[in-house]
Amino acid sequence: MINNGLKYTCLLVTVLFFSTACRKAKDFPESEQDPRLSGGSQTTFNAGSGAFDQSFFGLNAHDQLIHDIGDSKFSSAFVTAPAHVNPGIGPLFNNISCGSCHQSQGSGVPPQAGQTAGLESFFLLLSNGGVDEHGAPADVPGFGNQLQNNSSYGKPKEADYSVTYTNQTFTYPDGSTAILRAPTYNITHIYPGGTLAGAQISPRMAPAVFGLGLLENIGDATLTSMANQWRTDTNVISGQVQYVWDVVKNQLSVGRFGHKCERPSVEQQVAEALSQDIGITNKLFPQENCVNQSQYYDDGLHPEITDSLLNALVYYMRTIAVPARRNVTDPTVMRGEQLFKEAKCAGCHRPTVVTDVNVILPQVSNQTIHPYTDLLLHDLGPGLADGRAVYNASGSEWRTCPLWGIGLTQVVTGQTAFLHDGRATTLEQAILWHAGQASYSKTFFTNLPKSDRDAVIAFLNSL
Amino acid sequence: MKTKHIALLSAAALISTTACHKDKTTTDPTPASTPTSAQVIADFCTHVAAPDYTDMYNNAVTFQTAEASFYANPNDNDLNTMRASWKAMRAAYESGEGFLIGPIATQNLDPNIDTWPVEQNELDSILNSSTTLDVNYINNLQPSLKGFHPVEYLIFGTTGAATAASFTVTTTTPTGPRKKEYLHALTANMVDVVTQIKNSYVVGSSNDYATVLNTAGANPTYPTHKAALLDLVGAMSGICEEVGGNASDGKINSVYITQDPTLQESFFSNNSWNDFTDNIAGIKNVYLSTYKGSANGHSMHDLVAAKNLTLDNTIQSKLNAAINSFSTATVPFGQAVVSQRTQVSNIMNAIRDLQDVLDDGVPNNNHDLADFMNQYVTD
Repeated sequence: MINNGLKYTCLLVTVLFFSTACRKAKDFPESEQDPRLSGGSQTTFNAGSGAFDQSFFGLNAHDQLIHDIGDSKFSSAFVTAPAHVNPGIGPLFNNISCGSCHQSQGSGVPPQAGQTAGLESFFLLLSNGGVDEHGAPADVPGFGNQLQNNSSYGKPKEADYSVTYTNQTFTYPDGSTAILRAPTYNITHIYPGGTLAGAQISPRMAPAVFGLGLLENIGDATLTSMANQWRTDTNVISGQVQYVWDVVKNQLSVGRFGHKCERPSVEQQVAEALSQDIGITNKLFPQENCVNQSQYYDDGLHPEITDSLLNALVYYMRTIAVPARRNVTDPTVMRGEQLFKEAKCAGCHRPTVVTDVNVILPQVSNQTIHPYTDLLLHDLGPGLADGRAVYNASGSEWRTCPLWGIGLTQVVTGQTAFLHDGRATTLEQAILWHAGQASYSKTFFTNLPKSDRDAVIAFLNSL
Repeated sequence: MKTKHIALLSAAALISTTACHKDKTTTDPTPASTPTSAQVIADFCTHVAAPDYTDMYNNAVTFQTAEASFYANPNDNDLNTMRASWKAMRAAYESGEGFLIGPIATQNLDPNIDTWPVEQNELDSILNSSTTLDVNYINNLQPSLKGFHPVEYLIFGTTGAATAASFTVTTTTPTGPRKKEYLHALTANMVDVVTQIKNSYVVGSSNDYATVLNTAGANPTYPTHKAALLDLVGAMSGICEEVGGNASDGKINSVYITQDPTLQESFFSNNSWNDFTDNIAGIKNVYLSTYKGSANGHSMHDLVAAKNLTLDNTIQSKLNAAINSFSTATVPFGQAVVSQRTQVSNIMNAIRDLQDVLDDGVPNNNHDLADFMNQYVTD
């Protein structure tokens, strides 16, 4: 005779087992997630000058080595060929290494006002106003689509340029004021290879380079969903997805990197920057940026960076961690966070996004991150417009800038310059330049009492 | 029974008193001997950074004085003085890499004076040209055409055998006088950059970083003293990575894996071992708040020893092991990567061991100096 007690105990245990084993694990609700983890599991708590150059966690020894090789390549100063170490720069370039522009892996600054630009963390993009066969901005004959203001010895640089500023005073409703500076670019000493008359010119300051692997893994469908969300809303915010020519896939792909989402992937961003900014040919861009210009010469290196080093550099750029938020429980910061949402800044500067599943790079897979961007294009009004369309982006549309890490700009780079051209030297100025789809948010901000405006800035500095 | 109970009670009492008794070797000394974080930061500025950079500047002045005399009349005495003061300047610079924060990093001072490799082709083209080598021209040159290593190339030569005659001969291409002109222009530029570096720890100067550090807790760069101390720890760990790390471009490893001596940054002067030793000495300087044997200021060592003597002993042990490891290589670096590979490998390991106890990259695992700062520095 079976012991009834034992029988019922077994039944109970069995029921309990299956009920727990079959229950799906629930995600943590957002309220229970640690708000400091801007990069999900790939968040670093380094808040010093190295905050933007911390490796992903959990890389195995081999992958860490590749990351470190790429890190070294990022800092490598290139020289002209023939040379034993790092040959291949030029004939035309903007700077001599990745790190020269993206100093400490952070953002750059504009050239000093009134002075001829030299090796800067900044350059000017060009277009003749048309489009090429893929819809990209058409080259300016004799110059291409980027102005290279440095050259190898004996070769003429494309031109010199400088920037001057006109100050405008913004007056808040409460009577306090702020100075906004509007840039004007002056191009001189144009080499005798063509004319820039009528060319569209767009200034571009170097952005910070951490967290790119996570941004790359925000799904296309996620971006489309965010864009579509606003179309069903009566709100004026209306982000759109960018589509750009993907040289790897040989098709149009979603663009997400660059101030107008010009590049679809970290790989293409890195390869094109090597080509255009330093003059380093590579497997994706095997021709010199001046191949059809008089400055061109063949230095015998094809390509000028090996595939394996390019791959290491791309892997490095994909595996830089995101700095954690600071002071998240400070009452002023929390007040600012609330106002940020009330002002609808979060409509474009999305606080939370979940990345796609990724079995190749598991560190970026299914991560809840806080990039404060939707990676979509938004019209920010005539004040910030460059007049240079790029695929879907009009002359007044820009990618929502990721705000994660922005509060560490000072300690990492020693200076602060914001927006695509660095015209804003403070976060307050950057907000005041917002217009177009951001008009509501800007007006909400300007109508706040000063203490609340300071709270918003404190919140941004906590990112 | 009663005896047994008393014995048990006594034993229990003894156990509880010894268990609760603080271990005198690892706990707080009298409060007066533990510095504040502000004192440690202040004394870093006055006992480490300022004297280190001033030493570099003084040697730059010595170099420039010798160069001015050489320029007027090229001679081997002045050339030797320039070489010695170049090495002394480099020693101070390399020890300064133990705390590479502030303007030297963010104002392009480091790239403008220490970029490597040298842009050899263009340097030769400039030497072979008749372009006027004025201040403006030099200022607009790429970093790879000025600073320490192009100067090194000129005063040591590619084989380390340059002489004063190299600067007077007119039958070579480039001519000696042209090299002398370029050296003269580069010297002025180099001294200018060194001066800017020195000024970063001169209170009230245009790029005064000492004040930024000393107002930690009240400025946007360092909202807390902890942030400033952690930034220093990051720099200390960072130079370990750069020197002893196993990336293909690591200062030691790049030459070790290729056995190619021309990949040394200080190839022309054969000065690599000094560079690396000075790098690690710089870390020790920061940890102990001293420079070249001066009286120690309030230091990270003081902070750590007050709360975790074991960690302090470990850090000092690893520092000394790394510094002492260099003496196991008895030939120049370029030869050691061929004939003393075990020693070179052990040197890299000793540096990586040091990095591990400064910052192992794993937060809050109670293992290293970074963890200590995070846990015990509360302001």
